[in-house]
Amino acid sequence: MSKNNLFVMRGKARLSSMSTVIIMLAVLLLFAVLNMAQGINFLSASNLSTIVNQACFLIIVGIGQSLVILMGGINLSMGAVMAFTTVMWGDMLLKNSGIHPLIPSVLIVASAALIGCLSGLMITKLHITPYIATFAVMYAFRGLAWVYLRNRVIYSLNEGFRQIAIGRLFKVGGFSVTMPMVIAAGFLLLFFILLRHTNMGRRWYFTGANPVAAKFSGINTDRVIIAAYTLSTALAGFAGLMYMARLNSTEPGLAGKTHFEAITVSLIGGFAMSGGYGNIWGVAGGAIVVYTIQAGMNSLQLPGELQSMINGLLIIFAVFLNNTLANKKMQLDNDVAEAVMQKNQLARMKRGL
Amino acid sequence: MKHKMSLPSLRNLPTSTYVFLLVFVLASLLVPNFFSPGNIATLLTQACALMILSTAMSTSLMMGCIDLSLGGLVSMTGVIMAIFIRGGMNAWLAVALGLLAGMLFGLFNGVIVTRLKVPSFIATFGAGGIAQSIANILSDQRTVAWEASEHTTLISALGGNVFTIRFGDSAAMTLSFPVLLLLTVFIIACVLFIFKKTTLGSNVYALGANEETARLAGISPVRWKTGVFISSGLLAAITGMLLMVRTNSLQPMIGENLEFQAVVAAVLGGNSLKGGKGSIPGALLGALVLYVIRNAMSLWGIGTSVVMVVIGATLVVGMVINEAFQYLAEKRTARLQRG
Repeated sequence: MSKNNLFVMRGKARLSSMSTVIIMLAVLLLFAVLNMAQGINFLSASNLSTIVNQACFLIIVGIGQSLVILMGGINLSMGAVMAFTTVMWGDMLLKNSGIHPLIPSVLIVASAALIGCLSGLMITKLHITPYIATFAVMYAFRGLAWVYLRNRVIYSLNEGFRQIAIGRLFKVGGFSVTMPMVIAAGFLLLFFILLRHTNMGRRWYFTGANPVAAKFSGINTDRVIIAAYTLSTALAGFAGLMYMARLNSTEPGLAGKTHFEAITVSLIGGFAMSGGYGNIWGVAGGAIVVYTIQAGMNSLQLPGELQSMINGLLIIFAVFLNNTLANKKMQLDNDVAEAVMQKNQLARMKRGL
Repeated sequence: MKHKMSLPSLRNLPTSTYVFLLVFVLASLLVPNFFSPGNIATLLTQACALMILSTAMSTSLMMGCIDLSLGGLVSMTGVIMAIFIRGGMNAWLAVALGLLAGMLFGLFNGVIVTRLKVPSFIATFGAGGIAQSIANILSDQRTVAWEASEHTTLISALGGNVFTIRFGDSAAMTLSFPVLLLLTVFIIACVLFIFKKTTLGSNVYALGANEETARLAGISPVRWKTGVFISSGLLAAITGMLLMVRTNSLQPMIGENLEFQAVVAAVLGGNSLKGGKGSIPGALLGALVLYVIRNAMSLWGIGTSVVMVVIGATLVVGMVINEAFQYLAEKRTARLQRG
């Protein structure tokens, strides 16, 4: 086996693990070409910055959803929790409330975490399927939000607080870096380190891949799963803060479809529903794909109804591509390992001679 | 001896029976007018759509798949039928075309799941979005209505009553038995008959419990899975038709979230999302639980937002009751085996 061949094989294996990047580039290129035909520069720095800025909101809920998908579960309660927590403490964030916005913000994230802990307890201690447990939570808390606020809308929020969603930091060329980008990047980095470079992350991946084996090797799987749901829902609470800051208002119907979007993002991002597989950076790619499609179709003036169709097709295609490439990667990795072994053996034989 | 004989039959009841009885008795005792012939008939008619959908959902779940495209399919097939009828086509033909569209879409689901090996949760989740957006595009997001005339006799016939019995003067005491309910009962009976009396039932359970073993035993996963997806497409199209007949028009978002309610009904009825477990009657009772709550609460004059909270709570309580009964049954089996 020549050295060159090994290099090519490693490269191929590398490429096969980057399906999200491939999809992202393909979508960007497609819309760039389509828009070029209409005389619009889709890939201009300002347009890209708008897309990335929008995607950052989805990245946060996407990370939350990915954490539970990594456990082989699902969190349908995200949107409802966003609505409930922001409605519950929203009055404290009004312009003339006279309370420092940090207090309600902490309360919102904390109460979201509490709700997530509740889902986690139902799943682990009462053995309710994640799907049903979080569905019940979604129904109950969406209902409670409506009961609490009736038809009122909490409107006109503290300007300082709103900066977390609309603040602009600086411009690089035409690309303006905004607060949401910094926050999303911070979360991505934090969870990347947590999942890849800590003991805890190893435990999480192991529990997701095979809960029974994980349990028997001494991991407290119940605690891991409860932690995943708590963190996931806390992230939903944080996303709720950002959504409400962007809209400058909140109401019980906030984020009605967010749990779907979050699932879409993490599936396009390469997370497997069976659990234990996925890379947190994929979430960023998935979110950008979703918003590229939206922005691209808007600038082509295509009807919005087409969008859910294309999203649907894309989810199916992305997962198909992910599966195929993951299998291919496994095969190539095996081949590489075999080739390396052969080479070592050959070297050893030569030395022996 | 007799005592021992009666135990298994009791244990064979779907676990949702207890939840259903609990909810039903509570509603009858607490809510005036709930336990009246008129209201029970209304309740059953309202539950028709969800009952058929949860039948379809529970067959997919037993097979270890999930069909999240049902809601979108209901909208899509309903819109197709309604548009053809509005265009002046004979209602028989329009309904037939709608059913065909449902089956074709089911085939599409089946091919993606079995040939492209995309997990059914994702494949049908995406497909549901596609179906819903087809419905929106075809109908231009407006309610599709038509003028009743000669070509719609089928629709008006289906919308009528089989018989009406008066127990008293008030509306609550009038029992009218709608054709739709009869049709639903007939369809569910057909599905149950096919499931119990042909190899379909056992093959579906076998596939759900362990696909590889089933394949080695000569059950083709590709063929049976595709078949079940086609049949759930057909059942979704029938649901679309029912909803269209009931309102005499069709609103394109009608199927939204129906698939989630169907999953909830099926799981309340003892189906597991992992497959190989559960029953169709259980799912039907699960669907009825949801509608009993909704109906009783609205008779009581409670707002829909509170109803949402109550349904969420019932779901948790119901699952805990299911779990408890299962635990007891397992313990009892273990004891019988030991002694």
